[in-house]
Amino acid sequence: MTKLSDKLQAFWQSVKASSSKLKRLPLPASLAMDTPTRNSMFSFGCLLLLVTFLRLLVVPLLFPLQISPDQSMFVAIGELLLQGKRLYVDIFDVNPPLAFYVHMVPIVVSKIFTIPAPQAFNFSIIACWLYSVGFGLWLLWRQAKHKEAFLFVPLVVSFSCLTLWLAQIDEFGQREHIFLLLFFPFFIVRWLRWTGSETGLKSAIIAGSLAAIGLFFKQYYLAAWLILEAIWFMQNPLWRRLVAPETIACAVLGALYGLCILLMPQDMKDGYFSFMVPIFAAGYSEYGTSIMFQFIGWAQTWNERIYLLIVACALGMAMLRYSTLFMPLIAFTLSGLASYLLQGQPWLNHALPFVAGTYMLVGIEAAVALSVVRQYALALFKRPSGWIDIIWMAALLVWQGPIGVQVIGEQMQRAAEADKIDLALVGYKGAVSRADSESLGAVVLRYTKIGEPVLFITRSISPGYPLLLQTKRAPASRYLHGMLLPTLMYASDNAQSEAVKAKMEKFKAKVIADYKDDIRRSQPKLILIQNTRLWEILQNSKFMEDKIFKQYEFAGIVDDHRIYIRRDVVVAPY
Amino acid sequence: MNADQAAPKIELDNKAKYSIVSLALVMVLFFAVLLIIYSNQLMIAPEVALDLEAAKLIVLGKIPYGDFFSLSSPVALYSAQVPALVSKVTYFPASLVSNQIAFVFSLFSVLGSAAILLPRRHHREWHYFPLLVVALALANVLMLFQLGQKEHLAMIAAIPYFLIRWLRWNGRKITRVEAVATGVFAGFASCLWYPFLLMGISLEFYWLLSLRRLRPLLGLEVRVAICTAAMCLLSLLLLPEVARDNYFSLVCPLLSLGYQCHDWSVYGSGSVPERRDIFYVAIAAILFVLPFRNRTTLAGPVVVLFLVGFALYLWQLKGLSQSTIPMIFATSILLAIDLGIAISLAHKLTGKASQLKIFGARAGTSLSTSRLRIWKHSILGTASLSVFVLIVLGFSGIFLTAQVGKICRSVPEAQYWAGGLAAPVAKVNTGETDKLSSCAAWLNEFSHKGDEVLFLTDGLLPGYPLMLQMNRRPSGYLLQSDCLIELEACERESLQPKKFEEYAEKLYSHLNQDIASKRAKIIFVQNFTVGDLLKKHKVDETLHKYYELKGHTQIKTANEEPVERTGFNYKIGVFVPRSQPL
Repeated sequence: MTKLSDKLQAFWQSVKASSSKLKRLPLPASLAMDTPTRNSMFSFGCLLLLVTFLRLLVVPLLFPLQISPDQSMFVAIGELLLQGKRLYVDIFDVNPPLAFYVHMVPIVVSKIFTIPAPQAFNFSIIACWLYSVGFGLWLLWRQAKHKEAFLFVPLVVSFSCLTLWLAQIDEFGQREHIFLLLFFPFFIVRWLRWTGSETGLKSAIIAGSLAAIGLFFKQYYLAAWLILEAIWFMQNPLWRRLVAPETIACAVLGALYGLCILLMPQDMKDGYFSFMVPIFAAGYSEYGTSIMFQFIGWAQTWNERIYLLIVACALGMAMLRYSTLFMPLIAFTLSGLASYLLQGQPWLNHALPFVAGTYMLVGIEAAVALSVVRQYALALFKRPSGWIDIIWMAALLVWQGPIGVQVIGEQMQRAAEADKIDLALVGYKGAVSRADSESLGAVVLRYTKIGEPVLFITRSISPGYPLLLQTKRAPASRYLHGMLLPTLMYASDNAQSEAVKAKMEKFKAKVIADYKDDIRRSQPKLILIQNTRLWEILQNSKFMEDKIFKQYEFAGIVDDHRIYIRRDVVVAPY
Repeated sequence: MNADQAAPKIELDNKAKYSIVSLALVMVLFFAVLLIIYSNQLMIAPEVALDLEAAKLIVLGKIPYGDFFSLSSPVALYSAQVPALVSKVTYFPASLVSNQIAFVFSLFSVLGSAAILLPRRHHREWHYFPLLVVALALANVLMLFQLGQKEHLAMIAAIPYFLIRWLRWNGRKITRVEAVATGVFAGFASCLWYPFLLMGISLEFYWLLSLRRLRPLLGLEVRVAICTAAMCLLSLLLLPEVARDNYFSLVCPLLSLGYQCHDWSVYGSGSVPERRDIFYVAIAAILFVLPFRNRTTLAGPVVVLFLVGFALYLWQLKGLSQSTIPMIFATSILLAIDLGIAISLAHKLTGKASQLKIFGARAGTSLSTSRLRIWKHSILGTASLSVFVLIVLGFSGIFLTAQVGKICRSVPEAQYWAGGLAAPVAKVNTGETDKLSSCAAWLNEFSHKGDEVLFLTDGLLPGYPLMLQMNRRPSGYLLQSDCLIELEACERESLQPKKFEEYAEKLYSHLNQDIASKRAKIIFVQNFTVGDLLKKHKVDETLHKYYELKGHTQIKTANEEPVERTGFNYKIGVFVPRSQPL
């Protein structure tokens, strides 16, 4: 008993001593790093990024035709541009031109390496990710004595979590994703500059130039950056930090882009500013939902991400004095949320900026917490920092390693179990797992050949895309999807004045006439019309009563699509 | 730069001027609200109307959750007895009495906040205080249609408590009276509206994390709040056993699970009130305050308050303005802080500019220039104060005028409750029931004052506040039928479907009996939502046996205050008793 009480007494004394030591610890905790910790953290970060890289590679290697609707349409437009087609004259979509031209890159990759365009696209995005994290890490590596060096690796790794998550869902390679990947090194350069750490001239110009590409995809991205700059400037009004090589590079490229738009041929300008923009400005709410649905989204995961945003921002507010990264990240996240709400649709790609901001906030918060705990532990046990670093890094690796292996294993098993499709049907060698929309894909493969035009008139981009890109068929109309028609209907039904209504009706008549012209010109073997909504609109417009449709035979309905086959088509063996 | 350095130097006599102006503005704003309350005596928020109906039943000796069912907390139901009793004694409409009480509490809260803030004239952030007091008054003006809602009452109680906690965490001295008074109200608010607890806990966690001190955690006001809340909870033991059992076994699980179950009814634009404005303004306010966070210790906790309000808005999944009340309060305070920062920046800039001019005009004229500077400063100060007052009055005037217009638009039934009851609509014929387009018209046609009526809809509207306004009584056990939807969602998504099946059986058997008793002179059943549930649980058969469908009605106003709903705006079937059961 005596021994036990002595032991308890000793234990109590040690606890008291420890707590007094903790009280003496200078606060707030420092986030600077010693060289061994720095080296081990960077090595460990590289290891985690390597695991991420392997996981990213698995999808395009196992499923070379896998690509999502929006991305595939952009790639297809990139291909059409390379063929000499002109935007807003031969091809119509509401997005500004830059994103389309950027999507010529995967087509070039596809042609150089003779791989399917979807696979080339996925590899291009992975290359973009490599640039983003590699360049970002390099920029940070050079700031060895930075006061917040402990946060560098967590910042890059948490940012990479977004790409890893997107690789598992449909939004991998969306414009928002590309913007974020190109913007990340620029964000680092800007943050370093505003906090008084310089980066090299070349790296600043590279980061600024590449970021400009992403920033000018959409006005919302540009606004997010401008907000960041305004906040930094308000905090520390120094013009020389605002007007820096990277911002000059970015602004110059932006000005050049603006100039290119101004110098666009008149018919292209008319097609965009006098046709697409008014229609979508008046009718894009056709695809809008209530604010509550924007928050809860299509799946529980969205709701969780909003809650994560709330928690991350609240914690970030509480931790503001620990790191200068919190303020820009909170601002970026909240401006991302505002732009998501402004766009009005519950589409996950619109949410990516705030999801990225949230992830980075969580990463930084976890790192600050870890840093504080680490310093308490070091003060308490009086040991060199190496041992505790080994413990937490090993714990992270033990946690993440098996997850990576398991996910790769599951993907391989899915690929092995899936039905195969002969790549010869789309002009390549080998066999791959079937892609989405199997039934419609079979119809397209059966009735048409590589390069032949097929017309999809559908309420959304899918299933026309990615099917046409995957099967290497050409679009039979200047309208790559039928979104214009419901948008026009909405705009017309909800017009504020008779003049607007008449204008929308005129546009609708033009679209219908264009469709007929396109069918006459390209004589597609196959026309697929979505039964829900689109069929009704076309029926009301007496679209099918045109004599051109006498050449076509109704072949039935597959996956909610009415299929019309040209009467002279000889069915290929399948 | 810390808050001390950043604070513009305001002379003490100027502080008195600012205090007086801000208090005068508060009085003007509240007077405007009072005028509106008096000129629209039957205007009342749906949930408040429901609680008043429940309170009336309690006054008559009915047991809550036993003799009637409501999702409100016992504290809310028993508190509502006060306006119900006052109304009974004074013969004033219950809605007017309820609004008046909420109004007095609001005024008390704002003046209490002013009493906490304005006398601390040596506080380094004093220059925000007059703006803050005006912002709190403005937030209450924005509550015109939400007066007395639980969230509103909770925020009224929360703000003085929040200010005291903020002062305590920042090392300011708090008097015993301040701590006890705010603690009592906060404790009461937490029992009135449970999510209030989350706000309190989040803020404490925020301060703990950012300031890393333990001592303020158990300040006197916290202890008082905990004691008050504990007493309120202990008073639950005084409830009749059946009420206690039903509350804990049915209401609490429904509240905790029901909100989590959403369906596609909130998909379409307009299915919930589109309160995007709050998010845009709040985000802009946060973005503005972020770079100047070192100038004020108040911004951080207010941003957290907004974020918690956002989480609660999301958690409730209703999207009604009622759910946005905490966010509105937080945003109003943030805007006040932003304005304070902007003023201090302008102050600094004009100071610099005049300094430059003085340097330029130096050489022997220092005395006259310094006098000129003081004079100029005083003129500028008075001018900016006048502009501020005019902006606040202009903004609130425009807002209140717009809201008054909405009252008139959204309560077209005025002719029925105005006393005349001269139905301006066509008399009902079997084939021409469409002419009775509103619920009020149907009620007027088929029921009389004091009659029992039953609304089976997926929200509180249109039954509440219509029954209160037209002096009809809710019939049967179910005071609110939206719980049927929640129960269905719980059954569908819960891990314990059997438990909820039992509850459902109990509720539907009550409903069946109530319909069969034919006490209700008229029954409103919403198509598809509740209608389908009645079919599923075979109550539909009883309904058609004793009642006949006379026609349909629908909520026709836009989905915005004061007539707000969640989900599809389905038609509502109107049933009246058959002379002979089928």
